[in-house]
Amino acid sequence: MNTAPSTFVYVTYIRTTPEKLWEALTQPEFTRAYFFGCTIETEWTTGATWKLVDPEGEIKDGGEILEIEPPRRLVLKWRNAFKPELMAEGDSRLTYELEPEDGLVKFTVLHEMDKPESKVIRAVSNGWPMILSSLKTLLETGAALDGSAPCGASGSLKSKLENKDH
Amino acid sequence: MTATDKTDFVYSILIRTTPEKLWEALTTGDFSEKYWFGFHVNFDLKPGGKMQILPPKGMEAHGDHAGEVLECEPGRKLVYTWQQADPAEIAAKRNGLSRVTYELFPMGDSVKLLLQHENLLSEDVNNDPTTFKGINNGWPAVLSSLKSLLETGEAMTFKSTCQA
Repeated sequence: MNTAPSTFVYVTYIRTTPEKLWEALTQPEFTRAYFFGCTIETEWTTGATWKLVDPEGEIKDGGEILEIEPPRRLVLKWRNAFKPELMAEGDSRLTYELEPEDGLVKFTVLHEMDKPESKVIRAVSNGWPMILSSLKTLLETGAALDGSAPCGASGSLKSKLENKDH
Repeated sequence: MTATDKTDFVYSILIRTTPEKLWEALTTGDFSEKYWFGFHVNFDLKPGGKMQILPPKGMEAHGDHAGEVLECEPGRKLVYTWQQADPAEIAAKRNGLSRVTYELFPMGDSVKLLLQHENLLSEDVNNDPTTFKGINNGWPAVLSSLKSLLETGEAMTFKSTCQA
């Protein structure tokens, strides 16, 4: 098995469907609620560029989509866009895998860098568990965790989630 | 061959609950049966106290994980040793029992649970993503189910193919 020199892997199980989880991972009304108020701007096709934009319009991270198979798999290049020591490391690789299982989705996040002791991987290792915990709470209860969005951005997405025809 | 073939597992999860409720769920057998594949935890919550994670019917081959509490600060920190039911060749490689630490950090309306499982062997990690065998596969399922139980009142049940 090939493991990159610096790796962060996180598995969580969420009571949802792959389609709902995929929507929450990609659509702005959801990402604002659990991903520090940020949205992802991209065409969502292979080869497309993407950027993670914060509520002030600042680009935090960006890169290129390498593989996209909704609602099961997403692989992209990820580079930090605002911290010089993180930008200097270049592209890391992020993989989302969504595995359906009897009313649940097993969601695996793998974030890798091709150099040992990567500062990028150390930084994201602190962020991902909080983001993914808030995402799980959002999908299972209709409201994200406090502190994962600026005031007012979490709103109530329960009705949106319940009315979706998935 | 390196002198120590050691590996650690670290997992952090944020749960909308109170430290008291999370502590109770982590240390009480009636709760653990709901989220921990039916296993019943039994802690004598003081340093030197006995610890067991008793298997449900049909999974007795797992053994009772008999270990010992090393540190106990209710609502804040629990450290205990963990014994696996090892085949002989793996038991021979062990350098002492592995050690589990739970740390609870209040964060607004939530609690961050930091889990560390240390002094493991590389054999304790299972790279097959379709099984719950392996420390790296078991913990995320148990803690995801614990989170769902505390936040929604309902723990998770997993398909039987995943029963180790």
